[in-house]
Amino acid sequence: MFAELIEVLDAEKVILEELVNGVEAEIRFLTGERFDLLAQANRELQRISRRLKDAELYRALAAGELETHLGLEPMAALAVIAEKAPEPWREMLSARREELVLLTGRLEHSTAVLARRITDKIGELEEPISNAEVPLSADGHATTEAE
Amino acid sequence: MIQEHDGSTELEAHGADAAAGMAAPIPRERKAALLHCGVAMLVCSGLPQPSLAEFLR
Repeated sequence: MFAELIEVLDAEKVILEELVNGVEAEIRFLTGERFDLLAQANRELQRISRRLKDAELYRALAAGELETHLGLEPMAALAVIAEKAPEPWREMLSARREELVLLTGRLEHSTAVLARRITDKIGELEEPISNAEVPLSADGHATTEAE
Repeated sequence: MIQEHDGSTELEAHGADAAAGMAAPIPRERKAALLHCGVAMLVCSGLPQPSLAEFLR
């Protein structure tokens, strides 16, 4: 049971690393305006996200069995499971938790950066369109509120 | 100022469009870029998985 959860957590770690790399690649493609590569990266990220969703189901099942085994409340946090686990599992689970917390922190940071860059880029892409909509006076100049 | 085929200037043509309430058409490449940006925003909005964050709290 403990080994099963550790296996699932290791698999999630690999998926999270792929997600971080994918998000960082999207930031680079966006900065370089490589929208063709951004489209590919989007598809890849969607595939990896689906794998993480599946892994999360396996993780919930593996953790659920341990919760019952250890007499814990359902949906217990990994820190609680690790605390109740006998050695060497306790140390192994705690180490996995630390790694995953670091990775999810990196992922959160990268996705926040990506979201900001996307918002900026959408603004840039829409800018000339908005300018075209600025009302022009009869002599062809953009009108302002002062006028 | 750029002279258009009909003898009007680009600014005049622009002004006429704006006066008629018409937005300039969005070029196809720009539409595609906006679409890819939108998809990227959707993809990253679901990250990281909330259930995992809860498990690691």
